[in-house]
Amino acid sequence: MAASVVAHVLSKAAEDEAEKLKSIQVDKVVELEYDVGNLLAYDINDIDVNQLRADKEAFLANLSRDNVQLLINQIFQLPTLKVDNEVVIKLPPATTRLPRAKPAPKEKALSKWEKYAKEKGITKRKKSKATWDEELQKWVPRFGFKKALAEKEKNWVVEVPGNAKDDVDPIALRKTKKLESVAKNELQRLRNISARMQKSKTKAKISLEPTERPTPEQLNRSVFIAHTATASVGKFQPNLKEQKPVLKSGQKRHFDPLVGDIKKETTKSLDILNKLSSKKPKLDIDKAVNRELNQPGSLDYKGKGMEKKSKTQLKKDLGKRKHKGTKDKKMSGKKGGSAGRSTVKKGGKRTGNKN
Amino acid sequence: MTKSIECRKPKTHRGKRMLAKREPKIVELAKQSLMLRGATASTTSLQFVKDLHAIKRMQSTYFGQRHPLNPFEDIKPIEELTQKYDHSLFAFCSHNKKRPNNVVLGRMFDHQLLDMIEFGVEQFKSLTEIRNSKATNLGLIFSGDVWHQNEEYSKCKSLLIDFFRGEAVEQVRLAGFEHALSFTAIDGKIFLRSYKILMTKSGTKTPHIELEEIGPSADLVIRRTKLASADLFKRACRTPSAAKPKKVKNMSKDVFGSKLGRIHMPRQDYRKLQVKRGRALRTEKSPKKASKLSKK
Repeated sequence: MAASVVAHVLSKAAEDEAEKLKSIQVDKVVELEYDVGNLLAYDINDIDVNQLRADKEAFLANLSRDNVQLLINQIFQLPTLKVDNEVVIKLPPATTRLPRAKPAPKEKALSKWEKYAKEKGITKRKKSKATWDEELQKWVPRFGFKKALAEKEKNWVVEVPGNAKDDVDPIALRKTKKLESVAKNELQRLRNISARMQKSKTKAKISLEPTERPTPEQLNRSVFIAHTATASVGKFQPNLKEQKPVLKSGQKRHFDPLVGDIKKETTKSLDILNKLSSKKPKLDIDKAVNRELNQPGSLDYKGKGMEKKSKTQLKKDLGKRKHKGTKDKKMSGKKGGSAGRSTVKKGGKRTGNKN
Repeated sequence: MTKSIECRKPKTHRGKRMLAKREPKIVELAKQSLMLRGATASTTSLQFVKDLHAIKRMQSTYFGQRHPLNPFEDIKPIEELTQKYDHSLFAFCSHNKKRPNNVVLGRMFDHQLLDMIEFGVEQFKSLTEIRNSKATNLGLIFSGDVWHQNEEYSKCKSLLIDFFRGEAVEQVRLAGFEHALSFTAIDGKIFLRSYKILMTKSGTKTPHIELEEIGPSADLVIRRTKLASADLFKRACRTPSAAKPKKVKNMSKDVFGSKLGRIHMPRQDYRKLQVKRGRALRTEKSPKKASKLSKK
């Protein structure tokens, strides 16, 4: 008798436990992917379209409930803390790879002075903010408007040396001297910045047009091309005596995936077909711009400091020339679509952003 | 971008601080989003963008002036705006006959457009409750196998995560986790639903979940897209080496949790060993050399 009671109680307890678990358990064919650091769950399971169409809202609510339950189950397994009487869960780092807002900071290149100071072991010393002026008998700051005022007060009269010419204005002289030193400082600052820029310049397409003074990059590129211009792509090409190993240069080629977007592939092939079959003369704008820029007679030819026309402007001009014959007619024939209207507006006004 | 910042010398301390704040960081703060009202926005699309603004709250700025822009024709003005206010996400609403109730979501990398996706908003229901809720962290649920099968959708998923994930936090208050956004992709649409999470006792440590729909809810249709090239996207995703966790070498933990270290010792150089040597072993200078040195 007693044994059966015990068994009954035990079985009931087990049932209760199972019931409790049931309320938080969700069955899925494929397990969800979690990124708990971002509080994110991704359900890869196939969704039945018919079920969705039958009762959309209920179906979506149910699906979401299950998935949220699963996410919560994951979160509640994590270690908890108590901070200010609140239960807090410690999250693991996020796993989803997302693009950054800005590129990673680069180490700032040293300025000319900083480099020199480092070589010589010169370190910055802390200076007091103000110094005692014997003449004025008061504390004068090292810089700022109060320093300027103090200087003015002190130098109300300037001594003119005896051998000076009559038309020399010592006060004006002092002013120009000050201006010059300020300008020099600014120039040095800009020079440092430009040197820094030169270093961090991104890889641009290197042109191999013959120039008077080829840059190291250009030389390297041409050596690389010469080196690899063999049947074995330079694999067995011996280096010259005392030649540094040839650096790989040029841009990497990117290929589309072999399997994937069929739609994209068809449009791409159709585009090529259209291009080939169209009677319109083909114009490669990039190529044309580069040719125009590199022509010795052109305005933008490097080395001649004439009026510059930017690359984009040239592109625009060329683009306009291209459209004149063909596209404009089409545009005018179109009924006032929304896109057409907005382009008309765009020319007149710029963005208002005074919010 | 960095160029202009560097060349411009701040005139005030405040300006200097502001520029320093905008400089790229190793570990970035939450992305800020710019909510723009287009010149032709309809009530639906505008309310949708406003709702997004309400959800994002701390990481969002709403510009309610009518902006006569068209992101897919000319992104430049939006790039300029995001640069001016140092934001990296944007939402833009418009409406016309061809594309009714249009919303464009996009993100920037270094204030240049990375990718943007245009959505048509259908069957929109605005949010009702969220304004009063104390929810701090959003749970995000993506369902449907399209999200990883289709490239457009997978990029869209990445964009949506970026848009709604908020600040990267180490700890989350349990009570604050009460809002979930669900994106279900099926039937050529993305069903956006937003729920309040109600936790009820289940008898176990983990609570039983009930959801209550609070809005915004909408059926989104992907229209035009402008996705980043693989090269650029990869560059944008690169984590700086300083942010990567440092590899710990020669350290391990055993079953009991005690730390074990392995030490590599080089072979000892016995010649450098300091021992007491007798006078007989010392090398002395030869007398000739010694005399030469003394002469000099």
